[in-house]
Amino acid sequence: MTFSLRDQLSNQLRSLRRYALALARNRDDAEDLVQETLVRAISGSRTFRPNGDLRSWLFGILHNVHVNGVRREQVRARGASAIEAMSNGQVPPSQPGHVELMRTMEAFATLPEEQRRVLTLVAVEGMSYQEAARLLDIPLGTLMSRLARGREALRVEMGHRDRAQPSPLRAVR
Amino acid sequence: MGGDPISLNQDADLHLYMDGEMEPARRAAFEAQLAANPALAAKLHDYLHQQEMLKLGLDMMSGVTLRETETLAGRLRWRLDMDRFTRRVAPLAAAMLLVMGGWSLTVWVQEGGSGPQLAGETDDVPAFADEAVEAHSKAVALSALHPSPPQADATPVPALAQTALAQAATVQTARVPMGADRGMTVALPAIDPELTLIRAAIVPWNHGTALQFLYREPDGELLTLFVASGDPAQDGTLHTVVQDSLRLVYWRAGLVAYTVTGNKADGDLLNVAKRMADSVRRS
Repeated sequence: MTFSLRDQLSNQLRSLRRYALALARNRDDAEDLVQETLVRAISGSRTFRPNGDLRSWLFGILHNVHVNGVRREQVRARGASAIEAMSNGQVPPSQPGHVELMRTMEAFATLPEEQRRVLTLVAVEGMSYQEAARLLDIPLGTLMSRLARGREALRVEMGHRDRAQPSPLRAVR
Repeated sequence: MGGDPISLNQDADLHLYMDGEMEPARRAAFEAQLAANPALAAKLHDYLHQQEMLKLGLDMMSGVTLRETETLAGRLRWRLDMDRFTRRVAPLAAAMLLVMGGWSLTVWVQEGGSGPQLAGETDDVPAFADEAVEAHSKAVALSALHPSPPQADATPVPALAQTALAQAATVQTARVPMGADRGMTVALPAIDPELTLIRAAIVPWNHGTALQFLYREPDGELLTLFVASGDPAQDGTLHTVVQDSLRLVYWRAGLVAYTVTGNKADGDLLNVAKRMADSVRRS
């Protein structure tokens, strides 16, 4: 509560971008999504109560923007292959665990959208189950099962990838 | 790699535990299960690691901000700041309007000195008293929302207002201007020593403009005095009515009608109204 609006908004901008990336799986689309969210937030700024939850408000707008279909179709067309390019371009190879990171992101991109949403909101953004369920407008039980299935699918996928792809560290000189 | 020793319940609990959704009372018991079940602990480790990787990956990919996005974020910040500022300043601005713009209590006095009948007056509750009930409800709701020091809200009106509310709070009469040179003197009750004036406002109503004063009694009860112009009548009798779960006491003195409104259970209301009516009569 002691954070200034400037700080809060900066933090939320980053969170919004992460969530947009998880939904769009493409950096350009994600940026569009965030920008459209901000445009709508500006025009509807009066709907934000002074003591309201900035994060819930902004995520709610972003969610609605994404779900309204027009954008969804565009995003779907560019789809899962884009995230591979995205992770290749964005994760510096010098980053420790770079290969594992890339594999995680690729595996994440293959998950169904509803699982990606829930995983991002709860596991990445740290939302409570209640808050995330309210935002996504789904029952709590549905959210929990999607979360469990998403985590398990990712774990299994990572296991497969680990077995299928030998680590570069083992490469012969 | 043998049979999975993790039960369905444990699997569900694993998520509750790592997401901080498990009741504190159950956490210790679950931690004991984790300590006793390596497969369960390994799964937790996998999930936590996976979570870290996801955070790191998404964070890296979202690290670069486009200038357009930053500009939009700046605009949003400005708008939210402005909205916040406006909300804070609006009541003050209304008070300033009152002070600077003055006020007029529109009185229905026909040429020749006789006032018109108040339309919509019923046998039971006169229109001004009915209006007073509504104004009371609004004032109480407003007071609950903005428990601020005494202030005045107003509709824009002609001159001489700056003294009017000040007069209302300290002396027993106020000169109420009407147009260019018409006017009337409204007698106001002296402030009862037991009451604290917390808001004074000029409020519009169906028949023009009225004065409204919101007081707090020593026991915290809120009551309002609604002063409106009415038809000429020297009916000093106090009428008590209960309407919409509120008690109201009204009386008339000349062209002016007074209504005191408060909680239905407020036993002091009639006494307060009596003291006010006496005070007006003496003034």
